[in-house]
Amino acid sequence: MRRSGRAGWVRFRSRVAVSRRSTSVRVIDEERWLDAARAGDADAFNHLVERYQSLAYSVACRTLADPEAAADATQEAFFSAFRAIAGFRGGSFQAWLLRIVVNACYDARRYANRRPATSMDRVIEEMGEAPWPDQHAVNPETAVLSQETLATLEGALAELPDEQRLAIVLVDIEGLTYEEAADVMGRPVGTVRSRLARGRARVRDILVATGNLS
Amino acid sequence: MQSDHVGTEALSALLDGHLSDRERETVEAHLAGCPACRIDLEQLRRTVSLLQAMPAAAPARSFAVREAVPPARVGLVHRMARPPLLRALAGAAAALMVVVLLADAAWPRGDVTTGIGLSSPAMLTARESSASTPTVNPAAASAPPPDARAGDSGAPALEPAIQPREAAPGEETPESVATPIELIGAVEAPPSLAPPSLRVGQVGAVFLGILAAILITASLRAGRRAGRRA
Repeated sequence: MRRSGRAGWVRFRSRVAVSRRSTSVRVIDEERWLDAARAGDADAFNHLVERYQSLAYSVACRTLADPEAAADATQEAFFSAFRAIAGFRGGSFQAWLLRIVVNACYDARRYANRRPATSMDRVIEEMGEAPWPDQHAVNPETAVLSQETLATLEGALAELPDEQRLAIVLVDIEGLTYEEAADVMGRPVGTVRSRLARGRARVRDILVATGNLS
Repeated sequence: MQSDHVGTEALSALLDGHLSDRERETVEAHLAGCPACRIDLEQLRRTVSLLQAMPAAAPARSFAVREAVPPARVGLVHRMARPPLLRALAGAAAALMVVVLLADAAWPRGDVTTGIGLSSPAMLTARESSASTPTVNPAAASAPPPDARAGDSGAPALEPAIQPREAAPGEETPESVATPIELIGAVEAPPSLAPPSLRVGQVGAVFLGILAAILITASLRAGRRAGRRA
């Protein structure tokens, strides 16, 4: 409902918009690739990788708040997915894949917690800015988001319990519907709704406390 | 917040159009007369707007998989160095360690059978044996075969069959052992055919194990560095 009233938002979420516009073609392609990938065809699987890697990496980035670790986790997730593709029994490939990505992120975080991690601050320090320059150019709304606010949001996300953060990442940041997010999280839609609400409220409290929201 | 105010979940769902018509009517009716809840809703709306404005991260590389993803990529081997020199060395050391351990374990010790089969010559030289190897229990060495199985006396009991020919009573091979056939062979053939000392095998295995561990660690470290660069 809100998306239809916001042209900029729809343009920004072009990936999602495309998925809605030519759904039938995408589904036919996807099923063809899935069938071939199940038979071990890496090229067919790589078509799927190409289609979903931005989404997968973005989710990983927001889950781990560390671009390098997110890239590693994403790669690991695609390896895992390719190995397990024969066991994929239909349904939403996006949800199946994102579940693998999220699990790879949690595994990576468990592993990283036992050793010093690359903090987001250091990455930004090294690069001079948040490492998504092309997106800054694409999305006019991002210009409104100051570095300080972005850092506060990232810090707030990092503080959230996993499920609340995942709900926000999937619905607010990646633009999935409640139903799609529920499919990824393996939870009822009502649970997504409440996790999302609690996460948003917590982020709001942090934004207010840090003077980013009056 | 009073109990009749609108809860956060309803406000959040309202923003996404995820309230039923009846819920929405109730919430909107309340909002119309409640400035506090309107402020709540507005703050939540702006929070969501800021979250939506967070830039989507663009991957810096492709995550395409290669033709055959080896199943082992998940585990230890995957995290090891891509240039496989260290990995190969570590593997070789580990394999060698296993070989040494297996050979060591498979090399038959002086067991009950050999003890019985060769008890006579063993008993004949039992006194020499106890003299040259202080660890031997004199009672066990001179006892009948069934007692020879107690403790490690089975092996020392056999030694004399070789030791006299080796003419090295002071040599430190108290645990040296052999099969009946080899022992017989050793009796007739040059003493060089005697099996290697157990101690050499164990020390070698431990050494190789440490070497393998060091190499694996180094390889993992190199693999992590390579992974970061990639």
